[in-house]
Amino acid sequence: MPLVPSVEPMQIDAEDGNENMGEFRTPQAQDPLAGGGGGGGAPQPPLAMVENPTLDLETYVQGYSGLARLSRLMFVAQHCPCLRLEALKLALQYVMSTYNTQMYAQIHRKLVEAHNALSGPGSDSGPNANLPDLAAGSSALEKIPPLDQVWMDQKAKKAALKLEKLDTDLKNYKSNSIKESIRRGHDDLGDHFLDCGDLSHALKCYSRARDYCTSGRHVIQMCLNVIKVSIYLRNWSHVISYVNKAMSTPEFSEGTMKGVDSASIATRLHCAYGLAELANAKYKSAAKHFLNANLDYCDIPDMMSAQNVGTYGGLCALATFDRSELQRQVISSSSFKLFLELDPQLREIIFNFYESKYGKCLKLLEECKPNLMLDIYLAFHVSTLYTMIRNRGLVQYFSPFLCADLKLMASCFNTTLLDLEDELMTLILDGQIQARIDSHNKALYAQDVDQRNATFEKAIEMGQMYERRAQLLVFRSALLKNNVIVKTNSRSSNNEQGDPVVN
Amino acid sequence: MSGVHRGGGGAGGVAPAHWEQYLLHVRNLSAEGNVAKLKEVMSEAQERLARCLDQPGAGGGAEGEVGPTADGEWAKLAAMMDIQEHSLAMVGLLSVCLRKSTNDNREQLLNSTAMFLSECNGEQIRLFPHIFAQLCHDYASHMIKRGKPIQGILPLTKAVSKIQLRDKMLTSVHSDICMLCLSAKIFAPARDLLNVDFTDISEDASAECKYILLYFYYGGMLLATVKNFARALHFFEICVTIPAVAVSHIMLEAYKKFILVALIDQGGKAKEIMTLPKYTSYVVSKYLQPLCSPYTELITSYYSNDLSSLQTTINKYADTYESDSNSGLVDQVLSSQTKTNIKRLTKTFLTLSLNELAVRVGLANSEEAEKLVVKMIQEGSIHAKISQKDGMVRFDNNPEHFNSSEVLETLEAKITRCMALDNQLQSLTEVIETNSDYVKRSGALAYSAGATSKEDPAQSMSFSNGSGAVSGSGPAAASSSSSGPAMGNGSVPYS
Repeated sequence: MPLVPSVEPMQIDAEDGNENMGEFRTPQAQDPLAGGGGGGGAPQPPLAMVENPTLDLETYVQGYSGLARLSRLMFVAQHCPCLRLEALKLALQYVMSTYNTQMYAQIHRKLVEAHNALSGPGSDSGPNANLPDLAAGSSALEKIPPLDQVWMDQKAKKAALKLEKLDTDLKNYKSNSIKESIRRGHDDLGDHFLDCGDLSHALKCYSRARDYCTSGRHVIQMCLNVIKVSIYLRNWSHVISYVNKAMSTPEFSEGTMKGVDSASIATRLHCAYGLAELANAKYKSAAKHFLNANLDYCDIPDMMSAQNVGTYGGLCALATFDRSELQRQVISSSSFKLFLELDPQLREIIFNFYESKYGKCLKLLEECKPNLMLDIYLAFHVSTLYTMIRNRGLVQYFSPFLCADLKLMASCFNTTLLDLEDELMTLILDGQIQARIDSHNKALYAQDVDQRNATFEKAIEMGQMYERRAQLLVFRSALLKNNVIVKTNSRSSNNEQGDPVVN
Repeated sequence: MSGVHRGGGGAGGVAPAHWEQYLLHVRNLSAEGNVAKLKEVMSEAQERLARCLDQPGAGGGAEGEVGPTADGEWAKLAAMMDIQEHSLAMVGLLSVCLRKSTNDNREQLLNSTAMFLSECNGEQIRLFPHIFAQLCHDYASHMIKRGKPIQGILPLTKAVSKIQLRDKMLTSVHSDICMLCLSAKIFAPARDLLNVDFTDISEDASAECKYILLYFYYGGMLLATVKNFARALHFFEICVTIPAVAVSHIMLEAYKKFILVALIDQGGKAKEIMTLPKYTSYVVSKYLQPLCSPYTELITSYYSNDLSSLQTTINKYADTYESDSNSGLVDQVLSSQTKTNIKRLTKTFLTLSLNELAVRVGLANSEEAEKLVVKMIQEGSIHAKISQKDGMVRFDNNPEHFNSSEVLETLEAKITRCMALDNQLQSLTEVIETNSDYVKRSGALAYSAGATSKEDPAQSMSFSNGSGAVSGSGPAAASSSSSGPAMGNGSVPYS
């Protein structure tokens, strides 16, 4: 692979107008290299480019199917210059098996741009060469299959045909008024839209099926579909509400469904919930949900791979669980252990953390970072999670001590004395460590908070606040009783007259 | 026998007999308590006097007897009337005289006003406080114009008690007193006044709420000058949360000072101090806050804990602060930020070198840091010891152990106060809860509508505009949605 030049004037998504592709645009608010325009109003901060991932793309994407695979590949392409071409090629290959023609066009365009930017002008035939060949995305860099208009038209036609057929079928069912077939018709229509990449219509169809659900199973099925589409749309509140709805369906909660089904549905629901919580930055709750997943029934390639479950769950748990919880629910948990096997690095990290080998743990975390930054859901939370893990490490390190030497501590955590002092200051002010820094002797002394004094001080403060508020209230009731309102009327005296400043 | 319109008396003023009639009239009406008629009669008399005083003098010259002068007229009238008996009658006439007086004859008039204010009969005044309040306002502004605000304070203080029904009633005269104190730059006379927590508002004040706003605004400023920032903050907060549907300059200025005083007094606490209570009217957030952007920026740069950024903001808006006469407060904000930073350091460090202290807080060098720390130790805001040998500061804990008898006394006093307040609130709540309107709306008691109307408690303290008529009128009373804004949403005063 040729070396990537450090500056690439790459315009991403400058002119794409298809709102269905919104979910691939929105995560990146800005390409820091090109001063590109923002995506669809996403509140997330811009992500930096990832330089050294150690990711094997082909195996990485094997765990996903459908839109999940495509979105992940696009994310990687957007954020990793060195893997860009490969990712786009894989995406191109895959998208041909779906009806998603717009996606195809978009991927192709990006591929061409990337290729041109990479290998300079003139080294390749133009994108619209007249060769209608569907060359498979080979690993040879020099040849990009041209935009296959024929395929696109074909697929579009097929899609339209299928849509028509499904529509007429649905109409027939509706005229026959058989609930079950109407429901299935809606589902099929939704599936088709999903395949075409039209997410909003898919969501609509799936939601319409709700009225025709006759049994708990159907309700759950419908919920699962909606959840899937909502995840693609990143509509997390939807996800959460539908997960709750599914979980409260009587059949499911009573476990009267067949064993395998109920377990796999449970896993799916938990993973979806965990993902939504992760996206909302509620890490502890996310960790709890991921820990509820069961590896044997973890078959959700359209959301995330089993390894992802392990990574997300492990990382969130490490950042938010305290020692006993970590021990009980992660390290010695039989079900989650299987997940951790899938991600040995994370397992190492967790074990090191538990054994208080913070230096090693943090170093390993840094090594993992590039790969994690390429994960579509985790990328925005990586730095927060890392800070949380680091802080937790500091707190845990100091907890058994009455007095700790700052120099040792700094070397243990790979920082300088000054930086460590600053970090500790923040932690102390936050209240996570009860200690004082002795800057003269460079030591950290544990502080015993005198509860009695603290209580008195708080009580006095509370009393003052109460007095003040109560007086405000009494006076306010007098105001209201006398109908005192600042208003304008014809009398100039109530009008805002000039500055009453007398001095 | 309504006003007899004799042709305005000639150069000599109005016939005395006329005034006798007026006096009699007023006395009768005030005995009856017929306020409306009183108003009529008095305004008429005032008009007549005003017309009389407007007449130019016959000779129009400087020396000798000229047309009726304000104080001349007044002297004549005063001779006829007795302060105690005819206070109400005199008020109206006096205020007309004062208004029509010219500079030279005002002195005498002001003195008589002062005397009148101190000695008039409160009972009569209370029938019709508006005119009296207006007199006080005019008096105060004249005193300021003459440059002798101090002299006006005492009479006005006495005047207050004439209007007040109860001790804790706020009148519009209070704002005049504060205004005079500010203008005279003395604080002592107002001290007692400012410590009172008012629980009621007089008629004249509620009619013109400008004076309520002014009272709290001036009061806050007075308190800020003596550095009683906690109470000043309280005052400004009240001023800003008075119900409003229109924008008031007074409120705007009060809001700006509120921000500044909050930063000075409570900068150490979290930013949430800045938020106004829920019941602040929407006018504030919609109109006032956008107008105060120099101040809101001050807040953000204050909380960035960076001295230099605060300084830049201050320099940026120095002109605005200057024109608002807030520069003094702004300077205090600046120094308070340094102090807050040092206090924060006491929470995290046990010992710290002076140099590093200076660096962390943003001071120039360690000498300055030392000076500041010494000052703070003397003030009592931090507890520390400086070791000059190695340039270290050692922060100690608060040596107060709360185990002395003084602490116990203070605590007990506080608790008693709080309990008294609580009782007050309880009684107010009870009054509302027994109000039949409220009971109907909240549907709290499950008895039939028929029985309700007969059983309504008699002591319905209506909050409506005196349109009373609550109990006993059955379901029709519910339609009296003229129960004003206060009752609109149940227990709104306490939300």
